[in-house]
Amino acid sequence: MRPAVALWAVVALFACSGTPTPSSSPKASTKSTIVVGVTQEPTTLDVTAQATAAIAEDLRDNVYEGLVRTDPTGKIVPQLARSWDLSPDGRVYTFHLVTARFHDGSPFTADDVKFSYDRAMDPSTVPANPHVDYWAPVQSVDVVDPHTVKVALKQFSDGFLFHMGQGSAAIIPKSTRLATTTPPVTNLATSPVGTGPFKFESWNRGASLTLVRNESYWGTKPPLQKVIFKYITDPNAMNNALLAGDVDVVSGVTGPEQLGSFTNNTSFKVLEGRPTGKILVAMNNAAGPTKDIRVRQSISYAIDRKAFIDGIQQGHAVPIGSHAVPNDSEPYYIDLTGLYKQDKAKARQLLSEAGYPNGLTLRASLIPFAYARRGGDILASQLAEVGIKVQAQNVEFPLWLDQTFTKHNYDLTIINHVEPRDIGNYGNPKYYWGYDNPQVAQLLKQADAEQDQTKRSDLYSQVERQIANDAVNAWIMSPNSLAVIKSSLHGYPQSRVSPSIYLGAAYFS
Amino acid sequence: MLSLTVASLIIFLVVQVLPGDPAQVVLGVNATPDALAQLRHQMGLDLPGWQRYLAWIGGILHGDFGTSQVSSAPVAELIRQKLSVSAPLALLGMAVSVLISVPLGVIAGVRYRRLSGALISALSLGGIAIPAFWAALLLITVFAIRLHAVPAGGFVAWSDDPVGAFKSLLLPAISLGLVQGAILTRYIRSSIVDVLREDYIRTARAKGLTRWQALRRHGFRNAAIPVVTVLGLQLTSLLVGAVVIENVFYLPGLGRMLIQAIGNRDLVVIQATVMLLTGVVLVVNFLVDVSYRLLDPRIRATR
Repeated sequence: MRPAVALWAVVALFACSGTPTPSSSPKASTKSTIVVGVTQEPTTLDVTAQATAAIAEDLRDNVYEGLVRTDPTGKIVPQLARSWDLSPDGRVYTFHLVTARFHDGSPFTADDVKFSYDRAMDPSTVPANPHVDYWAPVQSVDVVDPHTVKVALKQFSDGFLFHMGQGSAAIIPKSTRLATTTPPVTNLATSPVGTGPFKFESWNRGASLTLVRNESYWGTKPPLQKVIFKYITDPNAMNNALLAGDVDVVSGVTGPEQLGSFTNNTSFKVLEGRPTGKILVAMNNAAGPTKDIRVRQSISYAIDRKAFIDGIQQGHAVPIGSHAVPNDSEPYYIDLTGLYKQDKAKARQLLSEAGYPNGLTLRASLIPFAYARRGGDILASQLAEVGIKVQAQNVEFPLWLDQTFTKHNYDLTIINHVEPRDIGNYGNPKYYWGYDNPQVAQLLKQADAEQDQTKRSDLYSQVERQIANDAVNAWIMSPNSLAVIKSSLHGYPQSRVSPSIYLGAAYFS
Repeated sequence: MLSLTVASLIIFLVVQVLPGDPAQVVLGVNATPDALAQLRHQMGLDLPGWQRYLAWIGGILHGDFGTSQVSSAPVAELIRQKLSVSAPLALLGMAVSVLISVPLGVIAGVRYRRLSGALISALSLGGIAIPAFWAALLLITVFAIRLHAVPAGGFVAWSDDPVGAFKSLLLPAISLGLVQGAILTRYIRSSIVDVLREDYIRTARAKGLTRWQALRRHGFRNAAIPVVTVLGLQLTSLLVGAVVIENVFYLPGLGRMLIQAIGNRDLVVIQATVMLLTGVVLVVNFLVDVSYRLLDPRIRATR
């Protein structure tokens, strides 16, 4: 879960136009540089080093590639592995690799895959991979020949292949070295080397990142010559930049009310994609008044999702009733929004049964993202109607990490869980919401190890239902991805289910 | 030197009590406790406070400001990059502010009982009331979106395109300068009004000089002293206080870097930036003091 803006990642192979782009013949007269306005700047350019979503957003699939990639709908498709076989017992993946070269000229081989995965799996690697957990199911990585690599799992894991499409599972060259800085970083931190359709050119910290076309790309060469990411935090400045022609794309619209200036303008297109992320009111299940299931249920009954969806996203979102989203990255999704429909009488009754006939006061810690601050106001007014007073605490993200996430010192918080397939967190009693249900933990283990898609989905659905029944959190909505682009731009990802803003297929008419 | 040492101690202590952990920010929410502990060790966060303070100060004395805990980039280089935006921006903003306020302030002061003086005075009040970011948005709408004369924001490096760099600082400097200029106009006006009431001006007028002549010969230097003080304060506040304007124009300046560093708990960057600003304040104050002596012979005589 990263606090990235509602939408996070990206792109389609043949995204919005639906037609493959002319690969090698961009007309000389058309614009060949794209400027993408992005809210968050990467803190480093080493995609395997930090959890910041912005790193993968700009670099994964553009500069770095993995064995597989997540397509715009959330499905897993081939990338550096052109195909793979799974042994009948579900324990061994054999990946068949493409013939490619890294941007530094060295050939990409199975050794690089082994190097990247071994390095990521090892918790003592410096700097540590922020997602060591992705490789938890892996037993060993073995090179068969330069174009074949075998990954043996301890047991079948449904999550493994999915996670290999994420940012930190990128394949880096085995020549990657450590620089002598404190804290230590690799040479990739300032000059990334991958196999992707674009090469790194320059990084002007605080302002922009420039990529150029990789002329010796192994796959279909991108139509665009140059990609510039510009970092603009202020939503007004972002809009102005698009209107003034300084950027071609607003990659993530943070305030949907600002779409107004673009919806009726033929120079621009508004791209509304599939829902990603889960905005929820997380509750402390381990301590305080919310430890009582009746208090949590009362809160769930007090909430009207529509008010949140309209107030935060101007309607551009789908309501959710448990920890899953209706897109292909979470095929086990079931609609549970009917479980807790707003019912103030019931909410009040549950509250007095729990021993608070005169109501109570709860703290809500709110990070400085629009959804959390606006959501905090809506939450306060809705809970007030059933007798719960909300004491809002506005905190910066590092403080939230410290107090809420690490020390669990909170009652309520509003957060957007943007990582796909993260329902596994309900099996971890130490996770910040402190939900301890061995039965759910057992179901999750079974589900991940289940090879049969139908049976697996069924197991996950049981978990969805159980956590909703237990009112672990009050799930609100999954915001639709929103971007604004110039009308002349095609092939820009319509949805942002995958971690990156893939620009290999984008071109101007 | 003493002020700098005391300042460094205060800065260090304040930064240490900031809640939040840079290691957690770097590794994110899925980090294992072992990985966190390891990174904290690499960052030197597990050393006692006095050791970290001495290491920091020792580094500065050797000209080494350390490396960012989040990006591992050398802090001196980061600050140099940001200063190439912030310093010209502050100076340009000052220039705009002085160009506006000196003529207006003097006229408003000299003609303070007439309609024109009152009008300028009212105008400057309006200028103070307008937030800089609002002025900026208006300027962007007119000059960038309608006329396409300048970019709506962003910054091109001086080395890439000096004209482009200047152009990208133009609107931000005007937005800053308008508001600062309005404030300065009021100071200059009241300073002139005060001076005009002084005995030596009356004497000069009695000798047959006109109001303007008397002011030119005897008034301006005296009126300048309080104005220079305000100017010094404004310069330092423009250097880092331009953060709102930096956001509106998405300029990679010092203010934005500081805010980002605070958001990421990048302690080394925060310390170095605040230390630098402290140094600048001290230098500017010194220059202001020096200018007093140049402007006023009486101050020279007393020392």
